[in-house]
Amino acid sequence: MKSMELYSEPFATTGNITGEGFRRLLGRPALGLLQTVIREALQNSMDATLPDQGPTVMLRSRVLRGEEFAALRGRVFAEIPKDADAALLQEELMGESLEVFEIADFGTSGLSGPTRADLVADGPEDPDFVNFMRNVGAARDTRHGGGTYGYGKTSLYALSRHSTILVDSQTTCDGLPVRRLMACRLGGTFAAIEGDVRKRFTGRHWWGSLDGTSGVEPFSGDEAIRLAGLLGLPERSAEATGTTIMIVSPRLDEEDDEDERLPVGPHLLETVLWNFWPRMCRDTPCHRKLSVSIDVDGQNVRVPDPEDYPPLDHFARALSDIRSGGGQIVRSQRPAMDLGRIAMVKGLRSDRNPAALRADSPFPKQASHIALMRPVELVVKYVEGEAFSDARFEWGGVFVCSDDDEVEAAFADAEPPAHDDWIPDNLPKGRSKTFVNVGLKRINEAARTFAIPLSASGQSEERGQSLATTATLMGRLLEGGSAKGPGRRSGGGGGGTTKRTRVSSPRFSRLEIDAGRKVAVFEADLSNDGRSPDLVLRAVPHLVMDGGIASSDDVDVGFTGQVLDLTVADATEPGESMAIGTMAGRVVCRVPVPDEAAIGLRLSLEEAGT
Amino acid sequence: MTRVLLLPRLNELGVMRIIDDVGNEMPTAKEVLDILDEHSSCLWFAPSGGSVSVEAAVDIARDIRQIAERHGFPESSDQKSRSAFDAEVTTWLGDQDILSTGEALRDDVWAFLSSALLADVVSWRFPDRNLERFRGGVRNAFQRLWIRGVTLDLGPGSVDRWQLVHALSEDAMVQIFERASLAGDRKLARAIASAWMVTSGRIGRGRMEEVMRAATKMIRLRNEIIDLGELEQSVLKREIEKIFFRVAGVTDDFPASRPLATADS
Repeated sequence: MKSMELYSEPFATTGNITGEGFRRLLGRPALGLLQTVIREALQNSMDATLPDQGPTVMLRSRVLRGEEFAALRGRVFAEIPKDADAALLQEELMGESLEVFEIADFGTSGLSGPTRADLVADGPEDPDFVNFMRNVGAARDTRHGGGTYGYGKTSLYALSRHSTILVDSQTTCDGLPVRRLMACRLGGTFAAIEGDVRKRFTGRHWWGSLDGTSGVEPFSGDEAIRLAGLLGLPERSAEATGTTIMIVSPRLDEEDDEDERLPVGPHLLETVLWNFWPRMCRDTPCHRKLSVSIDVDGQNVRVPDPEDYPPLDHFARALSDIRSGGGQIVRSQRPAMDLGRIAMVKGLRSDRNPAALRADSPFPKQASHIALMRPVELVVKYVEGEAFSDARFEWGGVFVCSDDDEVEAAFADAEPPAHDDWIPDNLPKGRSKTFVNVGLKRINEAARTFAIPLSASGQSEERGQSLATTATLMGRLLEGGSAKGPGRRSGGGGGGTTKRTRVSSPRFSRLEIDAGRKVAVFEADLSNDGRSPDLVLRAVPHLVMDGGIASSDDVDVGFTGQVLDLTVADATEPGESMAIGTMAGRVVCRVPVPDEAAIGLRLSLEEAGT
Repeated sequence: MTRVLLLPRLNELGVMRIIDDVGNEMPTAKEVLDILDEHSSCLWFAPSGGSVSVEAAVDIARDIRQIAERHGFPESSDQKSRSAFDAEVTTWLGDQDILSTGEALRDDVWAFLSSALLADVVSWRFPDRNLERFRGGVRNAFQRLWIRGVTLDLGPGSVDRWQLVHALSEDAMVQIFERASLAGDRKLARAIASAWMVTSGRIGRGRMEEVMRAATKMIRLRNEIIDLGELEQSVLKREIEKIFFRVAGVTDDFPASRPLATADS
């Protein structure tokens, strides 16, 4: 069996895009690299979905050893490019094993069309192979597709420590089934002697079959099938179309130290769920539904439904609302246009899946986010809003922009190459820019005010300072006032202690028998500053009902309102009142008690003669 | 009962909105829904403890409306048909499992039923349209009937389960159920209702208003020195009857007083 041959692209007289430039096109995505790769790859898979059937995607991380590793070393990378960094690849190939990360999709069209960029596509297929393996920056052609540009594929190279990937695709060309296997590397520009001439090279390299004239073609047919088998790539047949991308020596995390490395399984699981849950819900239509399997070193990682993976349960409900025509319409006034729908769901914060408890989990501890998407239902990003102050509750929302062509195109055009944001500044001034600006403004408003409605926060953008201090100061102005309204002021100002004449509330002390009658004895305390010697102490007994004062009307329980005697300090007088003069100290009051009721007592100080 | 249904709750502000906004006309269900749309913050549910069910509230309202229709709603309304309506709603509410969860103890649940779903029925039952009939509380159009129903229910096993509900006059009901100290103790409330029935059998309903007023006052005074609710059922019944007989001036011919069959006695 023959090995793959290396083709390094020389600069054309007109100039080419270099490997470095190709990689730089990706920009700096807001998301982590692995997340970008998975988003990009899964979006591509979904765009390539065959009609009437949702795609199946397998994410697999494994280590090539033995025969598989030998096939990679001997049959694929038999020739090593001459650029400076390629030494690292060579060094790794000298070892015992090599880690790879594979993204394989099934139920998709594969990388179809011609294999060369200079041929016009005249078959029924899209020129996917050329776009994916050779061209960069081709505008999208899937209507309302997820990937608006092809730039994102450079993230696949960036994930490889050697900027090298291997692609195996079962697809069709001119209506006939074909198998294609090819490797590609994006290195730095370099100069080398080829023949007798020193030439400059772009840094783009392909491994395949040299066609003798202008470049390189993929392995195809039996050759490709046999080599794919040796490498342990997923089996495919003419019916099982789809693409496997193998990323050589992936940077699955930035820690090179083995002990520091985080488990890949949960990381993959969460990345998939956090970004693709709208396509994985139980009520996602069949033809859009994405099935994902995750396999790490031979261990299968179970992928739960989003409904069972809090906080996605809330988001799934919100999306389901929108799908069934619910939610609120987000409108732009000038120009008048429906921009999309927004739905928000609040609920109890459920316990998280153990995978979501990692420190670097993308899942918030308490959700207060709105997921933004176009009708294609891929999450572009999440807008974080105000969380409920009570941590037992959380909320999630979904915004889906309108499927009106103009509006959808506006939001799609606002996406940077990695599709992870909506940036109105990407758009020229005009209707489109207004749509995206207004849409984002409404979404941000909704996120900010869902947990704390405007009415509660005082309609103001920012909550002002607390008014407590001012209120306290104003309260002091009232201090000298009286709750009694106009009339005699009790006590008096002046310096020194404010001693006053007053009597405390009576306390029930005991029951006695006096001349065959039951008598209740109440006690109280009288303080006297001596300034009002004319005051009279008056005792008024009453019936007690439901814990309060009751009149004795309507009922005959033998209650007369009589008081036997009053004692202040050592002086005792019969009847219900006595002048206090300058007396002070303990007050004792004796009141007869009827058989069938309880009594209470009121004590008051009154001016003599009233 | 397998699950708790959480009913919609309408706060005081929501009641005021509905009653104010519709002015003097009988609010239609559509008008009320429009108002609630605008003031959705007035409407809420218990945050946990069961499953939210607007349907349950709608079902209750539908059944109450049907009872009202049997008694002349919305065309005719006289004292007799209104009290017959009260009695039927009382027994119906007293027998609803859905309301035995604690939701019915909340004023705002009743406020929602009365103000949002049944405002027209309330306006028919109480033509003066006093606010206290719409908002929750002891005077709410339906809450007062529900508490009567569950308190005076003698149990499905008794010979005449709703005899107290049917026997007592509106005045007697008000005397019991607008006094928290009496209505709050089911045993005591039932003993009073039963004594009322026995006494009215002896002296006629005509004099009962004054007797009831004095007797309940005596009972409340007595309750300060003896915890009546703690008395054994038959002793309590005797005590309360004795008070009624004394106030009414009837000779106490115990043990000939008519026994009262209750499911839990």
